[in-house]
Amino acid sequence: MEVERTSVGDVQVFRIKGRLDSGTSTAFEAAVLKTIGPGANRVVLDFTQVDYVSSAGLRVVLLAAKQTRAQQGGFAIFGMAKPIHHVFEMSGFARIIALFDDEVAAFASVSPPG
Amino acid sequence: MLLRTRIVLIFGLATIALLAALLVPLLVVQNLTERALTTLQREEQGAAWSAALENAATPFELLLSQLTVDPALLAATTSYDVATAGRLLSAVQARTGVYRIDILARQDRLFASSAGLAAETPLIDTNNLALRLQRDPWLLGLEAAPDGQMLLVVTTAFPDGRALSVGANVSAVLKTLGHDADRKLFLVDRGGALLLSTSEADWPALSAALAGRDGAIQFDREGRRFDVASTPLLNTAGLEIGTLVSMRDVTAESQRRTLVLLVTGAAAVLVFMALLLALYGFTKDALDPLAEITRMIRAMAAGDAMVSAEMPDRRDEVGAIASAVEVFRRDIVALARTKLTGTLRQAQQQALIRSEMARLADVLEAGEREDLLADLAEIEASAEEGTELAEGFRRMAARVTAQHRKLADLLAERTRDLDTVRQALAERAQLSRLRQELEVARHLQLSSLPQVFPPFPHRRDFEVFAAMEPAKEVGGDFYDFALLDGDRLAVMIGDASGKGVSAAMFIAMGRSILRSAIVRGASPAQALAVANSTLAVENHTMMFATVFAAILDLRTGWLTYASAGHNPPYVVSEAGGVSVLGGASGIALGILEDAEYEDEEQLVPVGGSVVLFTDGVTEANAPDLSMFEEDRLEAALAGLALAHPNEAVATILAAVRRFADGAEQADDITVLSARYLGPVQTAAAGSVLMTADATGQETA
Repeated sequence: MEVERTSVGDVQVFRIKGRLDSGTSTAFEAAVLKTIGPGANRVVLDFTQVDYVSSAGLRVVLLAAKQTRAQQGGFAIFGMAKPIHHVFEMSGFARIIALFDDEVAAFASVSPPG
Repeated sequence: MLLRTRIVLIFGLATIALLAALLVPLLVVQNLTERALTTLQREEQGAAWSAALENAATPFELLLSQLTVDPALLAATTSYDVATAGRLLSAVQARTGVYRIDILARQDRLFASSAGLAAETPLIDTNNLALRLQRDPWLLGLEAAPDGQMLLVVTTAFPDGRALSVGANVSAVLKTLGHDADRKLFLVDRGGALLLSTSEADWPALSAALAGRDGAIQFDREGRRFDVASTPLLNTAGLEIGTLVSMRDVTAESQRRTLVLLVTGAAAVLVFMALLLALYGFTKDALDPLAEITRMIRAMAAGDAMVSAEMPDRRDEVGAIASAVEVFRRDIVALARTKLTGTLRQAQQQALIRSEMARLADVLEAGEREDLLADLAEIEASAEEGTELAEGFRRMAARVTAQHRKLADLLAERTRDLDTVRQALAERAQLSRLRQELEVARHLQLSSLPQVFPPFPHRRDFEVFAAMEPAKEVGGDFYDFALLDGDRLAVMIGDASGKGVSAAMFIAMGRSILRSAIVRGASPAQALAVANSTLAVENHTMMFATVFAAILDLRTGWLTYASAGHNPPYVVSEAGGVSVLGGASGIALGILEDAEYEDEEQLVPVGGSVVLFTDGVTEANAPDLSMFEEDRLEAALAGLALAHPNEAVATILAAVRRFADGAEQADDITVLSARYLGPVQTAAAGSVLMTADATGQETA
């Protein structure tokens, strides 16, 4: 798994490549969670190149979403492949995490109003 | 040349040189003495001759004294009667027997002579005659007569300024003198001719010996030795007129002298020889021990220090040398002994080195051992030759040092390896602790799972079987089933997020709540809500669990079920139809505190099976990371109509295993199958909880 972090305005974008499973989720957790704090509370995950997400990966995604929510920020994922989307649907997380097909919509969802 | 010979030779030569040095001045002195003696002899002879002449002249002086006063003669002379004077003189001559009597005139002319008018020259040399007569009234001496004879001439003054001379033959004088002096006398004129002698026969030999020689000489004739002395003869005027030669037989004298010389020389030679012999003996005595010492030293130099020591016990230098050499010899013997000891020790050391090196070689690798043994062989060879030992050892030492360095490097490497191993051990210990934790987790997980099948062997209305294949690292899967009041079968399956102890504890807690809720009569949805509300509290790490819970009414076949984000199970009909138990879409437990769940219902046909599974089945990986997926599961299920749950579970697990084809199992794989066989009206009474205990025996 590779994680590439870029900032667009006050939105941090993490482009993830590869498998997000129990073997890699710890690194992913470390890479993402430490960047979230006061004033850095808007996060977009690019899942276009994610091959697989295990329950451990889901937990980190949930944790990141929870933390941005605690900082009154925004959290969105875009570009999910169908099997992964299915996992999100099945687990019920699609209901609590904003999932988008394209990047623009994802950005719009996390950007502050106005 | 031997030292002894040299010393004797040098002594002899030195002695000869010394003698020569003494002899030369001696001869010179003797020569001088002989010359002085000759002069003395000559003077003595001259004096004896003069004395003899004077002695012989005495009668002639008397005669002249008489004649000067002879009146007749005086008268004749005064009157210049030369003839009378002549006659008178002639008469006197005849009477006395003298040779001649002369009267000289004042002008030194001959006035009258006994020889008459025949006489032309005076007897005496008239040179300065008057003057001489004034000094000495009697002139006495030899004169050469006109006929060559040697005469004794006596002259005195004669009245009227005249002079009177008388000449006489000297043969008588010569004889007297020769007799007195025991010599043979010869009178020789100025031309070397013999005038008169006492032994005329000896003259030819003497004249031959005298030829060209002057002074005293000696000559040998007919085995006899003669001493010759010559004295010049002067006339009254001092003019040399001849020589008086004397000859004496000195044979006896000479022989005596020769004898003395011979005896003395022989004695000297004898003494000299004796001295040489003594010196030879002395040097032999002194130097022979040196020869013995030399022999010893030579022997020692040749390496034989055991040569017998017959050393003289003397207190001189030789003794000192001998004792010094003996000390030296003892030193050499001691040295040889030390050397021998050293050789023995060297041999021992070599043996020791060899055994040690061989021992050392044993612990080395094959190639190094061969090199080392080759070195050892070389060192031994060189030790026998006695050369290059140091070089051999240096090489061996270099090799051993290299070995040592290599070993040290190896040791360092091994130490590093050991550190790595130690670290690995520490990590392993840590891992072991982790593993223990995992074991605890695994135990926690597995011990609560029903393990005894069939769990309800007396029930004829349903069959249930479940199996879990845990992943290497404990996952969070569980399954459970329970009989509620004898008519209802509760089945549950769940999967906690993540792995390890936390996941195990999380799921154990959730399962416990679920079970107790269902046993107390809660519907699946109610039970999930209860469990969720508990698990979601203070869940900062966002752990969650997906759970599917269902209750089968064994009297009717109706299945009530609810899902918390779990994979929807399948129902497989007796005819082989596979359908999904859909509709239940609750969120996973632990995420939202106030999440709501709803019960769904579906009729399970008699003979149909409900198959529950976790995502370990559908997300099982093949080696190429492709996943098993629902379609493969459905395909497997399609062939399981009429199958016993045991067989169904085994088939599914086998299919998954086949698909994985050796790839590592990432998650727990759990499958539960419950087959509904239709209502049975027999002993189903009471509402006692029927559950599987450890013994697997039903408690009714």
